[in-house]
Amino acid sequence: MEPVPGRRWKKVLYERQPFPDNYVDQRFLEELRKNVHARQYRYRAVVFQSGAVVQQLCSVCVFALTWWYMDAGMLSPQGLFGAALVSSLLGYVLFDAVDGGAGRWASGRTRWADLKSTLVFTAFTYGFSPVLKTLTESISTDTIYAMSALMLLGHLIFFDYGANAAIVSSTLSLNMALFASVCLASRLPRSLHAFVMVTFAMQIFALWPMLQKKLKARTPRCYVGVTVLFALAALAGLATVSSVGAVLFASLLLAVSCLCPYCLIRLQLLKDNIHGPWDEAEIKEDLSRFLM
Amino acid sequence: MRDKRFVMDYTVETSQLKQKLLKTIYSLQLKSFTTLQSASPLLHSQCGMGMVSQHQVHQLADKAKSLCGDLDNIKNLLHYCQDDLVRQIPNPTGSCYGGVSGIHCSLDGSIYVTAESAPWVHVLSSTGHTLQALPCQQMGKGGSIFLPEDVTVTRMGMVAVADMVNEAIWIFNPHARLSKKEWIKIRKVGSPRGIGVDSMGKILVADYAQGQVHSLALDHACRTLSVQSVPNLQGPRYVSPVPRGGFVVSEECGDVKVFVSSHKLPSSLSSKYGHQFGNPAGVCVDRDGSILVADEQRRTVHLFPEHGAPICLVSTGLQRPAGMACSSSGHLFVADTLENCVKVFKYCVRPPYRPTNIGASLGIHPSRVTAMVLKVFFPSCCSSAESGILIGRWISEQNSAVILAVVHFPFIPVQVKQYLGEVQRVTKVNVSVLGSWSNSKQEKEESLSEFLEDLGTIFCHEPWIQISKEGDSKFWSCSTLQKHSKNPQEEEEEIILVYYDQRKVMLSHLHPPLDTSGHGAEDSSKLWAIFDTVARSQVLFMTDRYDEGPIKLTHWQSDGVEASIIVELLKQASVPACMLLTLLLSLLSGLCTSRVLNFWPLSFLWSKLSTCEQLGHRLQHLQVVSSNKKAQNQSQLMRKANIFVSLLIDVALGILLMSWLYRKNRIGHLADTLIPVADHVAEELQDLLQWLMGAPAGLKMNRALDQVLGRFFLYHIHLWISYIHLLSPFIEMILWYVGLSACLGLTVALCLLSDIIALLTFHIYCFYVYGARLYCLKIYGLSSLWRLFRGKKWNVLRQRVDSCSYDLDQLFIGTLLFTILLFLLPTTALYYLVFTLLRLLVVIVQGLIHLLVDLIDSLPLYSLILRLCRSYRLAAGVKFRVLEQQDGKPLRLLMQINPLSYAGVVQTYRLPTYSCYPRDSWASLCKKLFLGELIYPWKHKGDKQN
Repeated sequence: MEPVPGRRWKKVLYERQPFPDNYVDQRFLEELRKNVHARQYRYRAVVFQSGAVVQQLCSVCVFALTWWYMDAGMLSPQGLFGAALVSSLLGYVLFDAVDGGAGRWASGRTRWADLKSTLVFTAFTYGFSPVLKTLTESISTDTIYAMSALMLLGHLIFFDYGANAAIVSSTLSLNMALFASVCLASRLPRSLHAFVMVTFAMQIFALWPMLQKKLKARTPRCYVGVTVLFALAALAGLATVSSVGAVLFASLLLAVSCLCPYCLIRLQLLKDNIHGPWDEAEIKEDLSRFLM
Repeated sequence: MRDKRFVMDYTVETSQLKQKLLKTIYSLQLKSFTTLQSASPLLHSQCGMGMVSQHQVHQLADKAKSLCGDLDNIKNLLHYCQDDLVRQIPNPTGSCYGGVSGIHCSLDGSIYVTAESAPWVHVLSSTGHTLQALPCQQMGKGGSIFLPEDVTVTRMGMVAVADMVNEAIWIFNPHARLSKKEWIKIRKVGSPRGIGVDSMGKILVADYAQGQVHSLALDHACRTLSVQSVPNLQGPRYVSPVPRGGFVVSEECGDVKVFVSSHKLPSSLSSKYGHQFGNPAGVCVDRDGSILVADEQRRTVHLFPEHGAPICLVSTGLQRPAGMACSSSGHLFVADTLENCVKVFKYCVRPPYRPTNIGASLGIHPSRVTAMVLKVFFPSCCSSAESGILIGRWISEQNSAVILAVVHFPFIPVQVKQYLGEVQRVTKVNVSVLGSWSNSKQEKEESLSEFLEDLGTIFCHEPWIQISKEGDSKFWSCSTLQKHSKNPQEEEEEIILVYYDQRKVMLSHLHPPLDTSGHGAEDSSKLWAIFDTVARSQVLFMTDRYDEGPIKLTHWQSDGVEASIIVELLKQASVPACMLLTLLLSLLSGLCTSRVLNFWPLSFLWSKLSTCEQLGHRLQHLQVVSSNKKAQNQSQLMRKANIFVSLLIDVALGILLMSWLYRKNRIGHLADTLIPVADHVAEELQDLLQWLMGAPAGLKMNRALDQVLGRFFLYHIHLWISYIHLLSPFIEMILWYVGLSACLGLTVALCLLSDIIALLTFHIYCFYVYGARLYCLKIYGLSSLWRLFRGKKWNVLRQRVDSCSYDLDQLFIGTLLFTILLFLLPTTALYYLVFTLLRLLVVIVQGLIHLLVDLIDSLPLYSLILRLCRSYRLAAGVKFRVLEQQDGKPLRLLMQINPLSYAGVVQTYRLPTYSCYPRDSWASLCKKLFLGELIYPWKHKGDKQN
């Protein structure tokens, strides 16, 4: 059939039209839109945001290093406890000082509650430390390592980096880190070691991210400085144990903070998301029968 | 209040009077019968009237008429009684409304009452208790109430009331589903007062203002199908149906009129009986067809029988009678408006015995019945009997006749009737003469057949069955006579002769027993009626063939009861023995239930010891067996017999066991082996624990916890061993005394054995409980902490898992505990597993013993033996075998009894047991085991209530 000049083609199927079946005119795709919701990232902003990941990687690294030193006997539990106590007090003061007590006032949490929480942590950890010490005696060390590694990996996966995703669960992340710390602590030679280790884990996995978040929101410059310093410290610590590990870790950090944002921005250009007044086709049929 | 005539009166004059009356009636009957016997051949023949003159015939007819009237009157006066007030039922609505006005008595004996200006219909039992109160309130539309004037119940059980204010008839179905329970207005009627339901199921309504009686036919959805009206009445008030069709209606300050089913041709009671009414109110008709009328003005109730003069039933005691109803049990319910109560009078001396055709009273037209096949159940033992008449029961619903016996010639009909009446009185079976039986070796005699037909006129029965056997012919001829139908030869009725073994049918019991509520068991109820008839007429068969009686009968004869003296002696002896036993048992049970033995720790102990349970169970059995109460029905009798045989066998086995035990010092040997066995078990357990305290099967256990648990259990075993050793000197003595209990029965001994096992494995039970509790605690802790670990929690209100944000310290402690519990779980689980397996072993052994006990307890041994030796006694049904079949001759079938299967016997007669094992399913058992919940071999308290 030839197109009849007097009549315009209509994009409907329910009418018989004087056009071939495969005929469309210019207006067919005029309602097509591309990349409506795509965001334009800036490199600096992405690098800044990746700081959270760097921080968490460094935290895990520092924790593992501390355990290594303790296990090797190069770090006395008293020394670690003292250092942790001092840094915790500092962090506590800083936590209130950064926003001038606004956050505390908003949450309505008293210092008495903080003190109580601290006492509960300390008392329970201290009370359970002999149990923790003998808990995994009969289980082989490799199993413990594997379990701890898995748990710490889980901690990194489920950690709340500020993204709005379903997988994020700060509770689960924290619990996995604590589980790993208890497993590792049970390998330490004495119950005091175990106690200090678990306390340290609490500080580095629960309290330190809270302070970071506040720093990031209030003083971004300061946050960058702290991140860099923390990363350098972790690297330095790792270098004392294994130089190869330090190099690898440094490259990982660099990749996370520089390469990954670059890749993201480059890949964003290739984004080709189409939108239009149609329903997307969904294949609901079970395709597995074609595979047989 | 009671009429003097019906109080037991044994004075000489009374007995003389009675004798005189009886003698008079007998002589009349005998005279007329002998006259008939001699006169009927003469009158049938062609010759003239002889010396009888016309005047004599007329005179005789007049005299006979007056004599019949006198006889009717005497019968009525004997039959009814006057002013016999049984009870007064106060108005169920109370005194705040008006007095009772409408009343209806339904077939099941319940009474429906309405009161003036009260919006209720009350359903009362025959003793006056309120069963139900139906508020007369319309649902939905504002709930307007209405005031019922009179009430009736339709054949489908629906309550219909007349509402004069709204000028309507309302109907209510109490059997409907709850959502549909409401009053339905079926029709507007001018001013309805009385209401009733006639024999065709139509609703009769007396329309006061228009002077009409409407009869409304309704369909199933209560829609009016047709309306028929009877006009020209003077203020009709109460209306009542006549069982044979038609109705009776009372007119205000006028007359009572009777309408036959055509609704024309009214006849007035006052003119028929010459009775003057004041103001007739409530009317009702009883089953005999007698009309009862309450007179509001004269405050009386009169009965108008079909034959004879009216009788005053209630002469005093009524203030203002309104509605009235009579029940089939011979009671009269009169609503007294002024006294505001229902007065119940007894008006029949005894409830009328009705040997009438049930089919007719149910409204089935006889012509429809004749179209069915007529079945004659004939006892096979009578097939060689001499000629005579057949007596038996006519079951009109099934159109079948059950012949019970043959009465031989010669006989006197009066004596036969008297005899049958006696049999009826004793057996309560409606035995009557059904037909004739001729067994002629020679050719047919003309005179005999004529005589046999004549017999049909003496013994009125419809149909009159004539069976004759000629010579050695296999085929019998069988015919029926319908005297009252106009054309008897119109359709040839098909007849089936069914032979049955009278003895077997009499002794057998049909299964399953008839339940009166079931509608599906129509076929079985038919068969049941036949079996029941034969079984109940056992008295008939007890008369010996050699007895010199006035009547010669042929039926099944027992060959005499063997060893009857011993049986009689046993029967005589059993009564005092039972009484003594009952006394002892009541004493014993009284002792058991006394308060001393039932305070807390002891009662708990009793409930856990299976021996006590079994003893209690047997005590109940003994009480059942020795109770003086006669077993009400067959299944109870069988139950008693089963219990008795089970008890006997149980005790016999027990004594056998005892005789084995106490010979050759077996008890001593047993005791000598028992202690080492217990020791050995304890040692094995010790070894097991030592093994567990190491690294069992290469499992990674927490060593510290393992050691703690192991030492704890080892200490228990140590305690146990020392306890056993403390006990060991006495064990033989204990066993010796315990063995004596076997004389109470094998089951008791077995239960005792089970208890001993339970006691000897008490340490295993303790271990199991400790292990299970610990494990259960861990499982629960872990499951809740696992939710905390994932940042979730169990929402109790919604019964689901929700997410929840925990505090930091909660998270910390939770995770710490979770880690600890998780690493300790394998140790606890292993201990739990091992001890659970041990426990299950013990439970299985105990369960097997209990299974054996239950088997002995519940097996219906008597029934099984009966089934084995006398299989016809337990019938599951019947089968028919065709004997001969030929056109023109009745089909002959032999009825044989199908015995009940063994599985059916066990299922029907299984004795209930006190089953003390749990009814858990396997899945729930596994779940319980996994979760560490305790499993018990006995039922929980909560389960018992279910």
